[in-house]
Amino acid sequence: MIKSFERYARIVWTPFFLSILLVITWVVVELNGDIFYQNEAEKLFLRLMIVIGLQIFSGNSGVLSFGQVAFMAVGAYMSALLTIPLEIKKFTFLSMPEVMKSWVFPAHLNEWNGTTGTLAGAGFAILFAAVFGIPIVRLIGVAAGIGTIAILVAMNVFIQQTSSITRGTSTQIGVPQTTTLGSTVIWLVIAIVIAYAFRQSRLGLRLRASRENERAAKSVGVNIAKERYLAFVLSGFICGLGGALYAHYFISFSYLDFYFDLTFITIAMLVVGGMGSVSGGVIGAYFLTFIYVAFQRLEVNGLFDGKAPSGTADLVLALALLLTLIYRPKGITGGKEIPFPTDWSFRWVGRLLRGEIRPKAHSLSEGLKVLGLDRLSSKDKGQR
Amino acid sequence: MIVGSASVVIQYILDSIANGSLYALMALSLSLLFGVMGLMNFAYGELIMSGAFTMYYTHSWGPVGMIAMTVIVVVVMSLLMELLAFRPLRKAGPSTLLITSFALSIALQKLAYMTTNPGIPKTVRPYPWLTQQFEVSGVLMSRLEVIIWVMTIVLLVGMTLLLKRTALGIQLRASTEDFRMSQLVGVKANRVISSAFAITGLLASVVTVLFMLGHGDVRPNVGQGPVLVAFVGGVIGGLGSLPGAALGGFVLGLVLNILQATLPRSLQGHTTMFAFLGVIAILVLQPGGMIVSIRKLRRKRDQAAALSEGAPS
Amino acid sequence: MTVGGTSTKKLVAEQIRVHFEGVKAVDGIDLELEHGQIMGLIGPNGAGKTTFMNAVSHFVGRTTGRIILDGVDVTKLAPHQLAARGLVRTFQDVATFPELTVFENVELGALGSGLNRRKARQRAWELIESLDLSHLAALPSSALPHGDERRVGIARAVAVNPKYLLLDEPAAGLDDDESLQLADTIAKIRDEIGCGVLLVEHDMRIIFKVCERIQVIDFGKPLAVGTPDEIRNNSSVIEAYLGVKGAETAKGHHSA
Repeated sequence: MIKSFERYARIVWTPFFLSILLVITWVVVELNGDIFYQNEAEKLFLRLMIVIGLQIFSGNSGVLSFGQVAFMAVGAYMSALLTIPLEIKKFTFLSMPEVMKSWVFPAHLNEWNGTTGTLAGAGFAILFAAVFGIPIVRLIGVAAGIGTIAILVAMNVFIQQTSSITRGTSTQIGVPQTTTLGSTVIWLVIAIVIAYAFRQSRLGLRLRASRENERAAKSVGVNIAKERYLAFVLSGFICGLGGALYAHYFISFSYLDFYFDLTFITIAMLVVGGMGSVSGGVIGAYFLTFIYVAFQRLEVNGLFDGKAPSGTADLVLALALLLTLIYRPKGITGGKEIPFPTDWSFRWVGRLLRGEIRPKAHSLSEGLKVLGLDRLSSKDKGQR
Repeated sequence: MIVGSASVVIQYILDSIANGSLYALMALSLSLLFGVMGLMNFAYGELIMSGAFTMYYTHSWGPVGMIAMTVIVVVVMSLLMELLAFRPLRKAGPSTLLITSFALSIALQKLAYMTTNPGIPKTVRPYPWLTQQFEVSGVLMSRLEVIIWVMTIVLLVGMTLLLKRTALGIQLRASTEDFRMSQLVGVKANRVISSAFAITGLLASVVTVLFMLGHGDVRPNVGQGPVLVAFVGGVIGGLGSLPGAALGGFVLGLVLNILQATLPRSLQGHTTMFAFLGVIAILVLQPGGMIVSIRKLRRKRDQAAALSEGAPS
Repeated sequence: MTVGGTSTKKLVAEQIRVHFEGVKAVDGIDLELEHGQIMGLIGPNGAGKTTFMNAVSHFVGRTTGRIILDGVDVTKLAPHQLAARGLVRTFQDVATFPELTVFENVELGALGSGLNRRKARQRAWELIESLDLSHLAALPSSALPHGDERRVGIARAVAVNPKYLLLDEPAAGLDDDESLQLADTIAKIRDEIGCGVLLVEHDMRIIFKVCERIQVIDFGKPLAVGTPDEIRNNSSVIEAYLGVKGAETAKGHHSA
């Protein structure tokens, strides 16, 4: 009896633990009532959403994507288009092509507190990810990096220049504010469950295998491009979801919100926390948010009569990422999930500590191997 | 109006070359680092940024002092980058290096925000005699454009001579072909990599000066646009090969100008988007691009593995 | 054991050539491996054994050649498709998934044979137990000593349920005892799942202990095919490859 209980408890432990962490954060911030902290918490949650989306693809496959924020943008813009009241749309999207007008104008997907609009936005993100995934999963290493950067830039230029659909450089008007801290937490819990289930699933296992050794993965029948593709599309869905929620919380947004800054911060969160695990993404997001907010307060309030110059918080974040890459490339969690309480032993702590104090130079290449980053470009074997 | 249309064509070609020259120089320096150490240096843009700020702050020294100082600052920045960020990661794979350069790029941009008071708009005041256009048999050009052409030719010839005729050049070429092998035959890794960064810095400083004399605005993210364009140029030509990268830069200049001229007005703003979508297509399909060079390396490694296969146990 | 040329139950490789920029690593080698047979592939260093194995499993591109698996032309299939059809290989450098546990490594093999998750786990357990790895199942494979890691590599390949198993120097780096055990393991695998085994190996004791047929190649070209006795007494093999020292080995003496 106890044994089988433990078996089930183990299965749900990680998502359960992470969800509790989120709910506690939400309750604390809600009770505190300070709008500054509420906004910071919402930012944390939405960035975390992207981090989780990124983890699904990059964490499991080892192919780093700089482009997931583009799918977030798709989610945000499409969800906004489908929920803005008709009276406003008539004025803000006067020059929209007729083909789009015909279905965008009548749409008012506000059922269940905007859930339908959010899902529709995420649905469009899936479509985009499904298209861009086709070339991206065939790329490796630096080529994949540049390819995904290209997605990000192309999307940004598109939004900026296609004002008939996106309002170009102007911010959105009339997006209903349907996202709340609470609803974000619920979606986030769903995302964490999806990401964790994916990681543990047959697909996730095969994808992680391909990250660790492509040759060996092929030798046990893993179709690497296919598994990567599925992860890429799923990741696109989660990012689109994050974008839609973003749109309905920070109702006036523009093309500037979905570019290199957000890409950088989400990648930093995932790498610092440890790309290999969902826990890594969550812990990295919390850790960097904590540092960021602390330094931001320093910029605003100052310390010992002196204020830190504006930008300090961002600089510290970049340095945290650099230091992680050099000294602890596997991230805080080392790519592991939060262990089950009965496994919390001295040995585990010892191993963690040893990881921290290990000499850098040669543990680095080892660590990169774990991240799967060492072989991405250099060792692929041609035909898939 | 045959003369007229001919001069229009010539005008396009000359403009394309002027744009393409800068892209070519940038792609060339990115390619050099990629070849030597597998690094796609995102932070290359911040070399340009640091040069731009140097020009802004030393503008009053007169052109010679300003340019000299810019070259010094950018080359030193480039060497520092290598020493502080990339040397500790010497053994890391290209993807890690790419993230590192990304982090470095953001860090330097933020550092610039913090130290330069972004509230005040800054411009490098242009020298009118440089940018003023004059007409030569129906074709408009400026002294700056002429200087860009000349400098590009000088640098490309210089780079070719450096790579072909000097000991350092041979070591550099050997390293871009096969870094590990070149080390085995006695090429000093630190020296080669530092030299590559120094050359990168030198090229970047020239690009900065030529670029900033044309576009005066100095912002902390002023380097981001150029570096992205240089990525595209590099990919088109094939990042593994140095001549390919330079050629890619020119081709990109031409393609962008042609797109600009032929696209309907409503799509002209999308030129860059098409360029980047093109990049994705080239990465996957184009056998002359970057992938081919990687494949070539891979084939060489396979070949080496096949030859040494079954080494004595 | 299936005998006779009319049976389609065999892996046939015809005229395999692999040329890299003018270097002829493999130049026109044929192979016929019958179901249930253990065949040794030997040759001096640099003869092209591993390249040949890479070419058969399609891990390198072939310049020419056809692969026919149980009568079906599979020349164009990718490595992962070949694995799913029962052409499974191991690697000289073992190539386990370092951060995954021993159990997950073997489970991945079982998943590769098309089993569902539950059955794959069951099969992984059976294999781990039969190869005496159960006490290591929860460790990441990178934490294993070399000999155990090699056995994990073999267990993973066997879990894919191979019809034809290509073993690339499975005894590299093993000590004497381990090598002999390995020879028994190979024979046991064949007896239990009845697959054909192609064995590339430097250790002649293993080759002559378990192989029913031996193919010798040199400079990427075929040199001789035959039973162990025929190979032992083949003068061109002795001259070209085994030499005096090797001839002693063939008679059962110890070699370096």
